[in-house]
Amino acid sequence: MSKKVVAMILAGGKGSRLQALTKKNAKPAVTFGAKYRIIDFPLSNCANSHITTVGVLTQYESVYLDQYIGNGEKWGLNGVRSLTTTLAPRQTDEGLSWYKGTADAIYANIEFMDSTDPDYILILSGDHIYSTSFDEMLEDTVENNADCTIGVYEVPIEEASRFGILVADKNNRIVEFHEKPAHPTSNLASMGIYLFKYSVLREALIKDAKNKESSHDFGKDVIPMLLNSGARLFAYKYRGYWKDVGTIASLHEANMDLLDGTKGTNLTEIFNGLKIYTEDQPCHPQYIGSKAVVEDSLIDQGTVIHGEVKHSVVSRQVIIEKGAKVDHCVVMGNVTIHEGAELSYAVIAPDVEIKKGTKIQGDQKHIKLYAGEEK
Amino acid sequence: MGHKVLGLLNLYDSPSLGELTKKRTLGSTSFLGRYAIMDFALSNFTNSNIDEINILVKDNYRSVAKHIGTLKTWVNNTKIGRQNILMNERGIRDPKYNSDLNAIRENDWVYFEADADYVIIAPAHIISVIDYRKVLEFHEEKNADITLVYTKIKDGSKAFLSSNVLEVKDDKVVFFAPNKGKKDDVAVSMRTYIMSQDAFLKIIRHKDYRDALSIRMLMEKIIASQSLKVFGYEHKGYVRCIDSFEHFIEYSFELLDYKVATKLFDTGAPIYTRTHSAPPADYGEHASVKNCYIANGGHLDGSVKNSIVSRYVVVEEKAKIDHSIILTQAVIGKGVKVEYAVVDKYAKIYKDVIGSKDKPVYVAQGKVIK
Repeated sequence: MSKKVVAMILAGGKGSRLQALTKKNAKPAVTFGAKYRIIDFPLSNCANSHITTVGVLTQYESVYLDQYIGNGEKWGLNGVRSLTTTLAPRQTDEGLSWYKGTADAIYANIEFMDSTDPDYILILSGDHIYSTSFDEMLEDTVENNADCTIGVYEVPIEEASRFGILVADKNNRIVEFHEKPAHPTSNLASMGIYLFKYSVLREALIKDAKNKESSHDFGKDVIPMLLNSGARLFAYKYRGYWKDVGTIASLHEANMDLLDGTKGTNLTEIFNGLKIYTEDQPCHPQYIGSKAVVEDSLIDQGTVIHGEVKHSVVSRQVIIEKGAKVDHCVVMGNVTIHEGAELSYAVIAPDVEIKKGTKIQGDQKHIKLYAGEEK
Repeated sequence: MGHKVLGLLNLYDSPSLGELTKKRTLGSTSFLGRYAIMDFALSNFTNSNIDEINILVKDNYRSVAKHIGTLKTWVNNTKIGRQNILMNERGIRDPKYNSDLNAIRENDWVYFEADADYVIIAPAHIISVIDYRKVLEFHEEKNADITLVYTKIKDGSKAFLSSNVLEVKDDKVVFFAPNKGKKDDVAVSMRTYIMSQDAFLKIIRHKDYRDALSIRMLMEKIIASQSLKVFGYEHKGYVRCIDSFEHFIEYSFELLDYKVATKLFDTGAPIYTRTHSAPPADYGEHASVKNCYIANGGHLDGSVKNSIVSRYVVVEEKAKIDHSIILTQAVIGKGVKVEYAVVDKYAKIYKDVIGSKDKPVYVAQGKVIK
């Protein structure tokens, strides 16, 4: 890559619709796919794109997330020419302030970006599940001499009003942008992935910061402002698997998507032939007992299964005792499910204990969340 | 805190596991699907707060270096912690000269640089979870010149035949000889020794011991002559000596009894290994897995019983595996039966491979059977 791309990952949101899962934990740190945290996906995408400078903007419950990201070693982002750092809101000469919006968060770190001397800034969300390399998006950006390329995803038109919707011409140049339109005229939804020419971004952020009317959000303020000023904005159509896991139901669904036989997706396809890197934990390989049943599931290391697990995603060091049944569930790390418990269509938060004989039964339309009492 | 201890992992002290160790050292041989055998010894150093780890390698450096990487997996502080792979360069030219003791003599720079208080020498093939801080306490309390770690076993006629039996009186080792398998109830050497670095350097340079080729011979000489105070520290936990292909299989399968496995894994001392960033194991709709260890990264859609499956193994639909050990990235094809077999890495099996309990079959690395 001849152009220097620096990634800025927005990871400060609470994700309140994930309820108890984000009570003490930022959304990007929520467990996904048995072994991963949501933020492993954007960070691995950076690694797989040979991006070596990454700033992670944290705010809500940042202690664990800061610790988790560390120097980027888990994703190999700590090499000799690499820099990975978390960027939390801080006290400055101008006073003390929280990040007021996505654009404000990036604006507050202009000095950091300056110091990394980038040609382009790639802005990513810390809470999207997708696996890709951004190489092609960068090539397009350079070729189009774009000021900004926005990653877009084709959504069903009936869902389009939930997203920022773009209208592009045949050269993919964006001609209209509407944030959550009531009557969408296109099905190209913004993924919240922006690849900016840094000079353009820098100027736009300074202008936006001075605008008292602005909510300092990329979708609501910065992109419309650039579009109105005639900037060269292009759409980059992303065709792989992509999901914003904002709710318990969508988190459950995205986990189920990793299993074979669901909607034609599976882990291999979703990972797109790339590796997703994550924390390594010292625990023994999974142990499957002589009476156990494990079908159509993803199981992580350190688990001990004596019961029955069907169509489920089970994280590390989970213990499932004999006679316990787990079906269509997402079980997060370090959970113990005692004898005779029956769980279906549920998301089980990490570190909880499910008592003997407990029944937690949701259905396809009503996914239950159990966050129990902590061990 | 406290003493500076230098850990020496002695891969010279590695019995052959037959075909399995033809292209790799015993230390880097896969164990229980997820580990290399030497992970246990290395983790003992880590969990005893030993920061300086040196690995004495006799052959197959490649396979050791591949597993170890920068060894960061096993050091507590990556600046203070140091690690070296020590080879005996003179020994490569003259195999007769290529022994652990000579490798130690050749690499004396390590001791000059380390300037450690104590040296611990341990092999990879004797698997246990041991806290060396306790051994060191014992060593100091006894004011010993050398402390030898031993354990008591009840199957001495079959196990530890590659090691030494010993007798201990008032904690002192008074008898030390190769285990000829004559008795079942015996105390056996875990081939683990602690001494001060000063004593260690004096011993390896001492003229009386100059003709000793290996550490084992050296210990035999020292104990026979009673020239130094050699104390025995009894380790009471789970210990297994993997010194043959048969023992490799026996001790692997023994751990399928989860009660036995907890003796290794529930001690509060984690076993560290190199990460492979493998995704979770993927069980297909037709999978039937019973009494197994399964590592991450694989795709299992057949029946797997009483077996150990390493990373990235593919078991296709209707394949039937029983009493087998399948190593990394092997493929077991559709409808194929594999019984009592050890299938080495990258092998592909498209035709039944059936061994027996007494005569397990070995399938070589990368072999395609069709």
